[in-house]
Amino acid sequence: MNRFLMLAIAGCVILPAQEKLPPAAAVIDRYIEATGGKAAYEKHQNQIAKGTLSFPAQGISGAMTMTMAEPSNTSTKVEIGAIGTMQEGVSGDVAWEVSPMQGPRIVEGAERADVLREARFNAPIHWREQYSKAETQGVERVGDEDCVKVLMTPSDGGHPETMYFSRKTGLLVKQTGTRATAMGDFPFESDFSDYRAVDGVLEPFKTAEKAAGQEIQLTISSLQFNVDLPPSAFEMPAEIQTLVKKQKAQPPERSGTSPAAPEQSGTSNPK
Amino acid sequence: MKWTAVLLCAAAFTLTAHAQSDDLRRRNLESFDHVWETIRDKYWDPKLGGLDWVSIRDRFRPEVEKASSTEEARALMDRMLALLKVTHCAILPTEAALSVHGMGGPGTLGIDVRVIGDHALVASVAPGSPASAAGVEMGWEVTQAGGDKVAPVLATLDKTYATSTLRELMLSRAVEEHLHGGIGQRTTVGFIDGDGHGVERKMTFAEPPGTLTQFGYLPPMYVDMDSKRVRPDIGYFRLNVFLEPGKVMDAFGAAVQSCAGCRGFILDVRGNPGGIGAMAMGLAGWFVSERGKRLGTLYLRDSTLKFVIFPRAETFNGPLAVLVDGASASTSEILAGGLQDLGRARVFGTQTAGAALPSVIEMLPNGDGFQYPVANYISEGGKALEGHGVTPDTIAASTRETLLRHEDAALDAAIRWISQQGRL
Repeated sequence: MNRFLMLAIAGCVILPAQEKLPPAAAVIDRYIEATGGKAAYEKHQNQIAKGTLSFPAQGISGAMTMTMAEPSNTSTKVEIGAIGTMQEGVSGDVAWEVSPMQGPRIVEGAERADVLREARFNAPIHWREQYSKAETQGVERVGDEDCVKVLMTPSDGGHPETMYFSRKTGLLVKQTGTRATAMGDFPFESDFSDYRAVDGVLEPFKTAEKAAGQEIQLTISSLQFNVDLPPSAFEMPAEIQTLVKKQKAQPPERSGTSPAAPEQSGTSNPK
Repeated sequence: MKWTAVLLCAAAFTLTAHAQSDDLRRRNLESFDHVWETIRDKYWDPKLGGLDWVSIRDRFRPEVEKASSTEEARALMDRMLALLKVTHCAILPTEAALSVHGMGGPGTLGIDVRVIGDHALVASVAPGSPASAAGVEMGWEVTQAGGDKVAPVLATLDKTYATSTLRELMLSRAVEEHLHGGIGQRTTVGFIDGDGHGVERKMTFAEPPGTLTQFGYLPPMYVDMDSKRVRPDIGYFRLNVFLEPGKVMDAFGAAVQSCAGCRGFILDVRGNPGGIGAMAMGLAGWFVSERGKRLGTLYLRDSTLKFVIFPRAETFNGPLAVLVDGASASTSEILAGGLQDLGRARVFGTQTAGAALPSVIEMLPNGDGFQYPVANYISEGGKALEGHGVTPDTIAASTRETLLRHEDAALDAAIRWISQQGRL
């Protein structure tokens, strides 16, 4: 009797998975359309986003400014009173970070590949270059929305990422995966919300990320495209330039993380 | 006065003994449920050491329900926690919990206390402080603070920490809490002076040295550091807590860079209870030139954090001494233990607190404190620092006699060692 009951329950679970699902490419392309379309993205060459980065459980928050430009330049500055100024960025093919706690460092290995993928400007429209495979995996409820779950495999060999696109709006609602860092790999989950239209493109103004038992919230207060950026916008800080010179003068050392060749970068998440 | 307040509260409860009995049972049960659920959900090892935690609850909860006093309930909860066979997982008696949490104000007298044996001794007196002006000397024993006797508090805490590496930290901290008060307030402290006579000193609490900082939900704290040369060719840097990284790391970097040609460098983290763990990696980056090295690994419930060192562009490669004592905890131990494991530093002083895990202390509904660990930390040499601490390479312990002679056993030993090393 119990066996039949278990089979019935299992059957209920299986049914939604047998529903015909759209191909992953169609789901991602619909997302690009839902957020403004390829032509709208291509009108933008750079952006400056300002907002707040916070760790609500610890009562810590700070002002954040994130600057991005074609093709893959970024510079992010977060100022937290009790900690100081944290900076990270991508200048050409150098990914770097300056932390008031750990000091300056050049980002390497698998972490570098992740950072470069995320640095790609107008990332959604470049997804075919950055992911070698995208597969629809089913439908899952995220909050109040039914979402199509798409597993995407980075072409640079990075950890696969799972994207959840709303069936109703086509927008990216959630992303899960594993983030490579110098301190180890962490499973993470990001929730995207509060999409707003800016110059023809819809962007999530709120991101909540959970990783290593912590929750980080990113809230954007202003977003501008095609800003007149100074030539120094993506210049490496002096201490990073010193490290780069030192590294060039030294024979290469093996780091703890798996290496990723620079030419394999230039990939991005569709968000 | 603080302990008197606790006794007054207890006296008030006895007036409504019957009503309190039901209320006490409820609060003890709520406390038990909180402890049981916290271990189930937050303890760093999700397997709970292989224990059947549900059966354990079923065994202990009815007994706690029948407990007729907080002491009885506390003993039952302690027995349950003891099944985990780890340190830093205990119920702290109300009066001890209040001492750990601290009820003093920010004002300081400039006295640094260490409990050595059963005696709370003045380990240092800050120049220009109220204690210095009042003629307090190193090596004096603190017997009374704010009109309350120190010995009963030490005796109460000693029951909990008698065999723990945390003993010196917790007992010293409890005494120091009672040597703090509101800035501008007067207080009287009782001592046994160098000649063995009981003396009293009236002093006014002053603003502590350093920078007042608040990190998240931690209470405001003063970050104090001291950068100097203990000899023309030996640099020295002392830090009282690992907070305010923007200022501390800049000051530390400047101290190391200005000492590039020094014979050696001394880093003093005695009495430093820890703080932001990542600062240990940043400080180590000034002394480790090889990439890919790490201080150790932190094991959380669902992930692993490697404490990687990122070498600075220019590192100090000469002899490095780290000074520690029983009140050096957490980040201090991670830094000292990791540098010791890497063979990069020689450690001087006494055994550290063995509180290298992020353990937290919460207040329970029945007023007791509850301490539990949320992660496990293994130093680079494969040692768990939790419950063990860092064993100095050179044991250099202060006594009442050495303190009365104004000697600093650990610092003196470190200077001697550096002097014996070859010049860079």
